[in-house]
Amino acid sequence: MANDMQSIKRRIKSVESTKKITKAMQLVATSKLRKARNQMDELRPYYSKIQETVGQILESNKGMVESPYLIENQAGKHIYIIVTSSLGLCGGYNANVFKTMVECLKPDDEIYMIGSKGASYLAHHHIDYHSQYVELNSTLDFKDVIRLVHELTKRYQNQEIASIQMIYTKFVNNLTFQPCVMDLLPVHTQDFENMTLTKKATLFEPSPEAVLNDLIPMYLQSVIYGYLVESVTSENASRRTSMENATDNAEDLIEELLLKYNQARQSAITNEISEIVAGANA
Amino acid sequence: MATFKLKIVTPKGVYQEVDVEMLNLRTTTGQIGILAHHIPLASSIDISEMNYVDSHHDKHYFAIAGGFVYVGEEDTTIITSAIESSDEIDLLRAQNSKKRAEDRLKTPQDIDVLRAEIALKKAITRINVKTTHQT
Repeated sequence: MANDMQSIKRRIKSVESTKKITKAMQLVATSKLRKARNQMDELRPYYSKIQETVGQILESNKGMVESPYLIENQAGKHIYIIVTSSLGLCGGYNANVFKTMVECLKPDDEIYMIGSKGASYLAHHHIDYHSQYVELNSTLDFKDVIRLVHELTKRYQNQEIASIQMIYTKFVNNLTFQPCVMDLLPVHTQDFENMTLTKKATLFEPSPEAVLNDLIPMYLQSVIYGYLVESVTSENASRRTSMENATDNAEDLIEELLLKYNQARQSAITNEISEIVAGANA
Repeated sequence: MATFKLKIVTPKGVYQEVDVEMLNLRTTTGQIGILAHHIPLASSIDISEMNYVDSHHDKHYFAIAGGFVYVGEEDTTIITSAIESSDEIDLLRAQNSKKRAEDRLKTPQDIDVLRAEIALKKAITRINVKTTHQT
């Protein structure tokens, strides 16, 4: 009996220490989530202003502007930018991204991987990828995004790239996340059609085309950065939820074990008493 | 003098929102000055010095790392990846990055020359803004 009690006690201790870890991770994820959401809010004015201006140029010069970024290249590779996490224990976050990735990836496509979990997944499956931006999900450095866009737009203009797509995890709410595939290049003019714009004629210096060609890389930077921050938000929300569940489960388990322990203790005492009584009677 | 609203937006949020009398900046086609009631204008900004005169007639200087200006009917917006006022510029850091860029350009093998040149231009702009408009 005593043996049994001891092993239950040991289990309670181990579950308790696990609970401490999951609780701590939950708190860390909560604060990181708040940080990522702030970053998302900070970026919004930048992003929406650029989007508005691109829309304005396209709308006021309908069909007249020509830009290499608007035409689909016939030749070249398809590029995927994929955002995963660098740390584990975040529920189905990475698995869902991988599922989407496997669905759309073709053997010849090029991959820019962000997040070391995705990198090790690709390495495991012997798929080549560009690894210089793997750390981007933890640094969230806008300069690196500028570098990435610079590299991609140059290759796009040289007709080395047919299209650029990004796989990221959309943040619907604190409990729902959705892996999504978004087209980055070529830019689709219909994306901007439902926007409300000022009607007044605008002067473009030196020309609408030149402004557009400068603006689209900036637009891409803000879009990629925005999706990246959104994915990090999803990652932390997902981690928080799964850690919250783990903590709750640990609590349930402790309660259950405690009950068992008390029962064992009680029966041990009863046993002892009946032994003493039997001894006294004899 | 009539003023207009100037909003400077960076990826890190809204940098400044002020009423200004005059805005001077260099677009890719040349230096321009913007006063209130300018017609709507959209143009790219060069990596350059930028300044504005606020409603108290004080002039403020900035180094801007390229970007985009949009003059609307009501307000004017500057969209840029990075902007620093003359007070914020770290002279030592700017000099270091100038030196780094120059070193890279001296040995132009398998490096992105364009990128090094842009870095150099940004560093020189920062140094100029800091040294000529020390407040």
